[in-house]
Amino acid sequence: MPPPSPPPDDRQATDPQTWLNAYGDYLYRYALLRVHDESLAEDLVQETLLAALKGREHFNGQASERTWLTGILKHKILDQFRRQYREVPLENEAGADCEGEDFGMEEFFAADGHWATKPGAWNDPAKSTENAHFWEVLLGCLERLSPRQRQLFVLRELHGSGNAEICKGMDITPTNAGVMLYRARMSLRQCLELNWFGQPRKTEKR
Amino acid sequence: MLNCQKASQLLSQSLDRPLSFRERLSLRLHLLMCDACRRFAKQLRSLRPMAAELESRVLTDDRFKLDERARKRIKRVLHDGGEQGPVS
Repeated sequence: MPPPSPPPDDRQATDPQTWLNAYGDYLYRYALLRVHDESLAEDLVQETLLAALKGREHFNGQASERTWLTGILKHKILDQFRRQYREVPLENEAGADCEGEDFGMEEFFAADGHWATKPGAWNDPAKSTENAHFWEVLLGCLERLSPRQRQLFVLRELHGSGNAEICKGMDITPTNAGVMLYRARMSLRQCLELNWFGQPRKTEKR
Repeated sequence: MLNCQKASQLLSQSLDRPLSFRERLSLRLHLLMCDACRRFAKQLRSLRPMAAELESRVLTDDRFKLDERARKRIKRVLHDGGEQGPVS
């Protein structure tokens, strides 16, 4: 007589080695896009899986395992950002201690507040997103932001955090967050224009 | 009167918080008169969907992988962590 079929095996599903095999690369990519540093991204994956292992009784099965692990990683990244934010001396970040209305973007504007260089026409943006090379350029532009600007941009646009969450998480004022996001967007926009949209390209005929 | 610099700041802020009625009004008036800022506004707003698509591409990009050395290290750490894990 065959043995009764075993009950559905939950242990298999919460085995950390399985997590590493199934979600390791996903978590690594998730982290890498946010911290732009391979070994830091590896460390974050390790910390995440270790935290998951220690807290696995908290996994309630409502979310998928990947979503649960990604949630842990998201918190680890925010912790990392907060630590880094405190470590970078202010003088390394031009005008980082900006107060009030001083957005410190003089290079973009003339003294009268007009554009120093007007934003150029963007060459076929819809088509660009179909071009694999465009995404390399965008990644490169993100990488070129200052660490603070990139962190804020990542929190706002990739983590999808709101203002209140960012200010609380990073322990900064809303003004400061607004200024950092403004600078990040100005720099990104300009970088994309200089390195992609402003470049003449051969139009591919289909 | 709003100048381009101030308009660009408000445009960025509009992505993070609701603008006040006064802010919206002065921004709208400026954009009516200023084609450079209209262009800028469109480009600035395109950054968010671009970031989202970049993310979905990176998450499925096989060029980015945990390398073997890191994988082994993590495996070992998890194994050790598991040994001294909480008793259930």
